[in-house]
Amino acid sequence: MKRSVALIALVLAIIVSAPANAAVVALHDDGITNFTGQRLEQRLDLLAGTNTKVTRVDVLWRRIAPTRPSNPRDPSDPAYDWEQLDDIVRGLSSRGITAMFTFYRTPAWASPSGRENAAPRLADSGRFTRALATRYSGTYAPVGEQPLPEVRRIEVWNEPNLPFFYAPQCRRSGRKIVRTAPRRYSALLRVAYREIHRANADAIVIGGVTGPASSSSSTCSADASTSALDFIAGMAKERPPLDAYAQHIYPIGSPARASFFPSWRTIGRLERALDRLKRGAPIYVTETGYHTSYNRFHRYFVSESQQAAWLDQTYRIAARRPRVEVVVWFNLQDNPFWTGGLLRRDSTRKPSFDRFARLATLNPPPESWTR
Amino acid sequence: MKLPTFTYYRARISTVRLSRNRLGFAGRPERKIIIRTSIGPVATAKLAINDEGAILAAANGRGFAGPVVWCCTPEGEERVVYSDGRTGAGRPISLAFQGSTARALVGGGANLSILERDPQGTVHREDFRAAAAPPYVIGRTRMASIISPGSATVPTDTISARNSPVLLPARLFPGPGPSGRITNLWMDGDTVIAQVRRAARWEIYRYTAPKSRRLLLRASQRPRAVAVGGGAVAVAVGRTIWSARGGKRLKKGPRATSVVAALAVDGTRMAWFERRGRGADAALRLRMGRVR
Repeated sequence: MKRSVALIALVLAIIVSAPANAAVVALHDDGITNFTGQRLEQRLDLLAGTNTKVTRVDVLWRRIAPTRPSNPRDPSDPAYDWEQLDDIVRGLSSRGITAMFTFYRTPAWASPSGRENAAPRLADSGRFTRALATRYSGTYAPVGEQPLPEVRRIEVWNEPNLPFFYAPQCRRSGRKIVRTAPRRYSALLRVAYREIHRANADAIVIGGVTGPASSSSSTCSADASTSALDFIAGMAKERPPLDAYAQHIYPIGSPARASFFPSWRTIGRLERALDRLKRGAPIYVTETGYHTSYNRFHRYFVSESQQAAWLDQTYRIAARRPRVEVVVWFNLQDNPFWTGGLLRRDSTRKPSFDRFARLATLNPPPESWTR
Repeated sequence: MKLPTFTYYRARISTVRLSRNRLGFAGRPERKIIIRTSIGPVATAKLAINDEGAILAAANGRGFAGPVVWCCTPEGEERVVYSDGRTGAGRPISLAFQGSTARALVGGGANLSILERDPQGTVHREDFRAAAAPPYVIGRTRMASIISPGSATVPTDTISARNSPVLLPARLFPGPGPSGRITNLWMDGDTVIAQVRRAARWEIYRYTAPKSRRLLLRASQRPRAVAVGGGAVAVAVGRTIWSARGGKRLKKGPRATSVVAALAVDGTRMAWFERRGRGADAALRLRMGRVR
């Protein structure tokens, strides 16, 4: 009897334990930047309640630098408002959660069009990334305070292949459409890479961060987007330096069956395309998820039970791809524009909450992520 | 390796211009709303339009509540009136416009909500418990906003949309009697069409304000589709389409070549979809005709 119990326990242990190359289980909370003070602490507790040990944090450049700093490389320049981001990073660190940054949203003073989705002037973005990486290098202490925790992983921009985040995407040359975004973004990444590594030699600079566009627009209108594959191909011509590539995957259908690009079934195509940019580059899936009700930005939805089941399936499939280092579930909580949360808008838990918490407990990130 | 091609279900709502004689189409369909899900087949789509060309659409499926979507702003943006992903969420039952205000009746069992959305405003929701069993319909004119057919009452709704229709004074219509049961309702202008199950037969009645009721059709099988619009009524029984204008008894009209999937009527014109094939491979053929 004892032996059979031990055998069952062993089998269970094998079933529930993570594969050796399981991707890091991470969670994004896009609402966290809406809170300060005590409400921020409560929000951080809510995030910690999911058992996640890694989270992706939005660094909204436009909010941190509403006016042009006189010395933009210096993180202590008075034009910068780091207070909320400092609180977030310290709060995460005290809860044992590793942060990774994604910075975007161009301030008006760095934007050729004044809009926040405009491709920023390279010198301005380079100087800001330097200030950001310096401040969170692990050695920087604001006046009269303890050193800030290190944030080693920095994504350069968010979904630069979509005009909502990065514009323009293209220009017309006679009858031809020239996709300018990959080249312009490559230059941005090159500058950011140099500045971040100068501030923190251990930093990991994540490029691409491409959104889930499967095909490039056939016209060059203001809402034209560039497919992830076209974007990577465009970057490959420029060969910008990067330490990892990030891709966002929102499958239409189950993770095992959805066959559109980008999806888990087609990740091999992503790997092959990436090899032309940087052979063997690790893949960070920094956004994935399923919406559980319809919203005008995401017209595809699944049931809450499907979301839970497919969350499990997502991490199982990711574990079979050794190059996929992290999978960030997007999002912690529903909002009017995003209904893919683990929590509903009224803060009640969806079935996916417990699944995520269980996975996060069973798959602690490797030491390289928590150092 | 052959990739699976079917990973989700969808409902597409498109508009297309009518030809000059208004019995055909001019131009290509323009897609307005698309609703996609993996939960299950999208079984029923409901639509309402107003004189300004705004569209209100809902698409339920077996075992899940579909969203209610309003379309569109001048920039082509849609607005979500209702979407609830929780298990057991109330389903959209009926849609209507009251002027430019979109209204949706949502719920299940006795728990119902009327949702209202002004094109530029936020969603207003009013929950209530219905006194009678379904079906319910939400009106698109000032005549009525909701019908509770168990007692065949039509509460009038001539005042602000913010008032609860169920609390307004009721206008009583003669019901189908103890041997009849209203199973479905449609509204247009001051007309209410009721489908009644009586013993082994199905009957279609026309109610008009204030107190008249008239039998339009008696059939031995359940009508596949019923439409009311522009003072006309059309009913598909089997493959035969019956129609009439002005409250007259329905006359036999054109015969569909396959199953009638949907039917619409507007004054002298009617249109219907015929379904070819089954399941995911089903295709629709649109036919148009005149009301007799």
